[in-house]
Amino acid sequence: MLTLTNLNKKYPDGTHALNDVSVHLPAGMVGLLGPNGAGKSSLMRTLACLQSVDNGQVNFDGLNVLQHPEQMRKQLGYLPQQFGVYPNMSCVALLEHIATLKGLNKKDRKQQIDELLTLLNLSSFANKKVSHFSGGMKQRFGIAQALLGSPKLIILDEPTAGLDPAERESLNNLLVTISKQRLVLLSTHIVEDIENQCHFVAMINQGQLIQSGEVAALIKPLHGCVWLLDTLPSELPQESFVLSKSYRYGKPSFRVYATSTPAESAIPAEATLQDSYFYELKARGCHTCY
Amino acid sequence: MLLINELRYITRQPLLWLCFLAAPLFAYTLSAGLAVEGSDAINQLKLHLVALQMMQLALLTGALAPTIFLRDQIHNMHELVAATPITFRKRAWLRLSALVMCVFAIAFISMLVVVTQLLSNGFDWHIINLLFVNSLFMLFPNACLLSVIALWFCQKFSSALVNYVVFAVLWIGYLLLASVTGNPILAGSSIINETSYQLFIWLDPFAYTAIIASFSEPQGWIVAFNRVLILLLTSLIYFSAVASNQSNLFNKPVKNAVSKLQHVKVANASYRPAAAQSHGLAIFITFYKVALFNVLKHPITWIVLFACPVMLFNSVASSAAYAEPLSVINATTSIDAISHYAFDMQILFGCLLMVLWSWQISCYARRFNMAELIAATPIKTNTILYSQLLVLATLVITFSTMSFVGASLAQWFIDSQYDAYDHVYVLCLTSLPLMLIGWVTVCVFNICRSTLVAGAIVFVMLLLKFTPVMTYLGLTHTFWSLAWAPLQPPSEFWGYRASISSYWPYMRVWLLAGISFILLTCVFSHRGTGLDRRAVVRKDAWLIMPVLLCVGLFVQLHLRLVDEKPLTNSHKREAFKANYEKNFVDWQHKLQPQVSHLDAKIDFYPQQQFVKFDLTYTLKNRHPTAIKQILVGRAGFYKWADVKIAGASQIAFYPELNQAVYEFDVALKPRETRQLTTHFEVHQRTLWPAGGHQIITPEFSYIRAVPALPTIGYQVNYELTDTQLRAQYGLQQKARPLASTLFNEQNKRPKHYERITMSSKISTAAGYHVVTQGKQIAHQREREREIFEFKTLTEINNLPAWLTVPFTAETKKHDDVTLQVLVKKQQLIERSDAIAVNFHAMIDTLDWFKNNVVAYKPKQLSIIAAPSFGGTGYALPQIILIEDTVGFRARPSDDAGFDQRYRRAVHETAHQWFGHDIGNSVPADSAFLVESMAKYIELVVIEKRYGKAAMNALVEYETKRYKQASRMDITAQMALIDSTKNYDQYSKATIAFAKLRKEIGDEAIIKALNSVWENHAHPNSPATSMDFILTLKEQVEPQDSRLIDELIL
Repeated sequence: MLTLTNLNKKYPDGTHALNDVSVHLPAGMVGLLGPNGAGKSSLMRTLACLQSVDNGQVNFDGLNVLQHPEQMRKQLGYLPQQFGVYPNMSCVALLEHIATLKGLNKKDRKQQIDELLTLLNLSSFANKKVSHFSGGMKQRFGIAQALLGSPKLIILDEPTAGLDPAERESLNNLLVTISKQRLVLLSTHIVEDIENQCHFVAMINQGQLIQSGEVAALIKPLHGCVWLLDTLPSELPQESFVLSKSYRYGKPSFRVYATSTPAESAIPAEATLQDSYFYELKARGCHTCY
Repeated sequence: MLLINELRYITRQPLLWLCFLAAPLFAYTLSAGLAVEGSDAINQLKLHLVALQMMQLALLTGALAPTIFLRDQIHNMHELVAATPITFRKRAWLRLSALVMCVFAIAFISMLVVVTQLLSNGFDWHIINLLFVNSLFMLFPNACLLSVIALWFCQKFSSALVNYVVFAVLWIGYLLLASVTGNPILAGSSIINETSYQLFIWLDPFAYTAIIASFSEPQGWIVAFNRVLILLLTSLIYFSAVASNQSNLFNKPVKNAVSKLQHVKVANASYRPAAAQSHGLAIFITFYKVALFNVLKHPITWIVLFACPVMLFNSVASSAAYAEPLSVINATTSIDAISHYAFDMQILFGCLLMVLWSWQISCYARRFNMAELIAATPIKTNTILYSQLLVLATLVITFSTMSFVGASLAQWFIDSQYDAYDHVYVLCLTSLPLMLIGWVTVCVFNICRSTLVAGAIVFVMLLLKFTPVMTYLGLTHTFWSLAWAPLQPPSEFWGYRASISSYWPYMRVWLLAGISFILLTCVFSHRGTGLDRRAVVRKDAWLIMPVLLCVGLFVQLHLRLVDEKPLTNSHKREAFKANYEKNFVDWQHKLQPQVSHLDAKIDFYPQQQFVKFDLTYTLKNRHPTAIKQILVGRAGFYKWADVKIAGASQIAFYPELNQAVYEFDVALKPRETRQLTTHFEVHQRTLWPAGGHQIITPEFSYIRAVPALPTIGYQVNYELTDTQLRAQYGLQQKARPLASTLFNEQNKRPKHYERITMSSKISTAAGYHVVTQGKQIAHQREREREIFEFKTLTEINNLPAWLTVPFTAETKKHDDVTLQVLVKKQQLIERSDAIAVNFHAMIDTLDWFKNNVVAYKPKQLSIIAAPSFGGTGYALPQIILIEDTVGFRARPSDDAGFDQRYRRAVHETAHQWFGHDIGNSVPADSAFLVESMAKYIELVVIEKRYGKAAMNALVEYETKRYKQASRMDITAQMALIDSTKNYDQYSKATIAFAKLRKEIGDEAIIKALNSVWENHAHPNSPATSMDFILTLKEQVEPQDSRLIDELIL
């Protein structure tokens, strides 16, 4: 559905935000993973036609996005990582405003705003000023505005930031529901969310695409190679390939990659997307990932 | 340590470095522009430092304050910072100190630049001393005061915008206050009210008025009092600011906060697709509505929109009837009201508003972090831009409407003749440039990704528009001022005739330039995000068309401008004069023939706005030796005329200096004459305002020989007189003899007056009158043209002029002299009172001279109502121009002790003796014998007609004027006879002659005058001021002689 070909973007300060990125993203929920500063936001802004690239091509459903940004925007829903709202405007007025900008006619506007307010549980706050909303409500408003106009490509940058667990779950369900006929590109640090909802994932680091594919296919190579080791760091076997470290009941616990048992106390663990993600990063020399 | 931490933060702000760069640059240009020759260095420095601080301090503080005081709020760090152990009071104190230090440092460096320039003329410890005293007692307290004001507003409102507006108001407000308290730095300022001036000396928050007042008398105690007061005020504001924030925002509940929370229930909700369609107009309207309401909802917009009509009401109601001091306009009209608001307040205030609104409109989404959401919608870039432009146009219309309401109410209040059309017309004329400025500013904000860069560009734009910075840099051009046209305030005399022809040629070009810029912005806008602009691609090639069209139109307008009058500035004029002197100074000592007779055939075409000249000069050798070569020239901004001299041929031509040298085939013998013929046309300039001594319009046409006609010989008045400039151009310094010493240098006195006879045959349009020197000897109408012939019966001062006007001439015969007053036909009845006053003034003056000195020799004298030509009254031989407003529309105000119309007419009539009979003939003799003596005539003639009380009222008025003007003057005082200052030549002269009349009486003065006429009237050698003084001293007792020395020498 969305094909990126050799995308390059270099900022005036020398940062290579996108370095020859090429990937094909199918319809449905697609996750974008990467550490901070990896180039996720640059990629998302490029796809949202907010910034240009030095070279490369973006093709969405046969449309050359970079050549026809105005056509792309007609099919786009966008939620940036941080956004603000006009003061003194109610939730419904601001949604009306954006819906009009998106080209919805009066009838569709009203119908869809009502639906989205209900869907995102904002109906009782429809006439309250958005600038007075709490963080979670504002985020829900942001998602509502992104869904206005039934866009074919929805770009969500950290949509669940600021939401409590129940809201997060509800939103994830909603996204899965609406992603049937469209591409929802989801960028988040919560790998678990991507693993649960996305069928396809692209990993990016230092502006380069390091891995992409079906979530299951990415995890598959790690099956039988992930081990859980509850031990002190000093007691870790030498040359252990540590994927992640956590604490259980105050004691350290390591997830280690090994093709055979790394230690007697090691317990085999089921490979996850997070393991795959950390494996890819660590394999490329990123040591700040955990 | 904490202060260093503060400073470390501030020094990382680009704005600070911009200030460090721009402020000294501004100081350099300002001090170059304010240099006053003849003043001592200390006063010069005082003036410069006051000017610098007045212009800079408020702007600097206003610009830097939000970066320092509001940085937590701006960068959303207030919670983080508030959670640190440092108390609010301490934080406020540290930030205040940091701001004061920055402002002080920048201003001090600027002052150093000024001082360095002054020291380049020679080192002086007093200058260094003054710099430090000023820094300590002026700069520091003023910086503290402004900084605490900024702190107070930032704490109270937490808004950078409020801070900017407050400081813009402070800056403009102080400039306005300074202009009505006679600050000499501001052009056209004068002390409107003595009481408020005295009050301002004590209470001026920056003590600049006291410093300026110290030029005339010491103000040490007042300055000390003022400084203590200001420090107390500063402390008070500081404690108020700190106290106001004690209940900080974290303790307040968020107003109307929606705290949440309901769990999301997705199950029952549906989300049906809704296809986006293209509703261009609906999108445009919704974007327009939101952008407009966002601006209109801002309190500052409301304050501005309501303050504007109040200010205009005040301005129009208080000054629409003002003609001049002690004189009011009889029946004010909308045109008078317009002149008092539409051409200063409306434009300056409007420009600042345009910038503010443009910023609000174009950066609104970005300011509230919504720009990306908006930019990601399918709204077209041009829809965003056009709606912003329409919002701005709506605001301009609203602003103009409010101005209209304010001015109309004021007219109703003062019971003035109202014509709504006049207001609407002028507001349309002034709104278009405002709108263009706003549009360009919006485009700048849409193209520049960084708001700071865009703001800097807009600032430079305003700097170029409102300051003469480019002229200082020698790059004078009218195009530097964005959306400017030389449109001038209208007058009741001829509406907009003076400049309306220039409006559309300029506006057309600016409009097209604006549209081109809008088209470019549509393509390269960052859509409000500041993230990225589209790169130029091949399909944008069409954009070159509007750009090329604009360039072409600007070039065409430029060529038309320079064709009408070359662009010039003080540097170019100085260079021209220096070059002229270098090339032709030898001609000063070469004997040249003089013009003895001028035969003029002139065809006026007032409707077509041009005049054809066909002139024959009779050149006469008045010297004892033969003349071989002759220098003929024309003023630099005229095209060279076709000049032919009988029996001579051109041997050299200097096109850059507009001069040519002719050589006689046979040398011109003593007393021999030759004919010089020349033909040329003079066209009214359409791209420059009509004024001065060359006006050719259907309402009024007037051409003076100088500078329109070719000149003969070396022109001493082209020489540079400023010693520094002479040195700069490598010219030999010339000792400038004072009038008081001229008497001792008989050799420098010309032997003869420059007198000519004239005969003029003038044709003009039907129904027009012609006025020129000489007696009218014929008048006929031929093929719809009036043809007049004039001939002078006696020799006249060599200053011919020709006028043609569609006026009615009121005529009176007095002692064989035909007196005329010419005013517009339709205004004859309503101006009958003024006409009578002018006749009385002429007759009384003629009588006084006839009875006491010498009778008027020519047979005619005319006063003509004129439009604004640079002065209010001007006397040519036999012709007097008096500006219509002060001379004919006005009447004495209720508190006037004398009639200004009468006084002016007497003064100008007196110039027929002082100026055109004696005086004005000895180079370097100043204006005493011309202007000061005419002031004496005012006293005696006014006293004779209106009595002593009126004469005393005139003396009182001139005394007041003198006091005010001398207080504002930083140059050294000179003897009245030597002075070149207007206020000496007019006001001080009135005071001196009033005293002399009281002490020695008129008899001695009249005797002295008679003696001067007897010895120095034409054809004797020309009189000097000292001839009169010495003769006067001979008439009086020794103690009175000392009084004369004291008052005049």
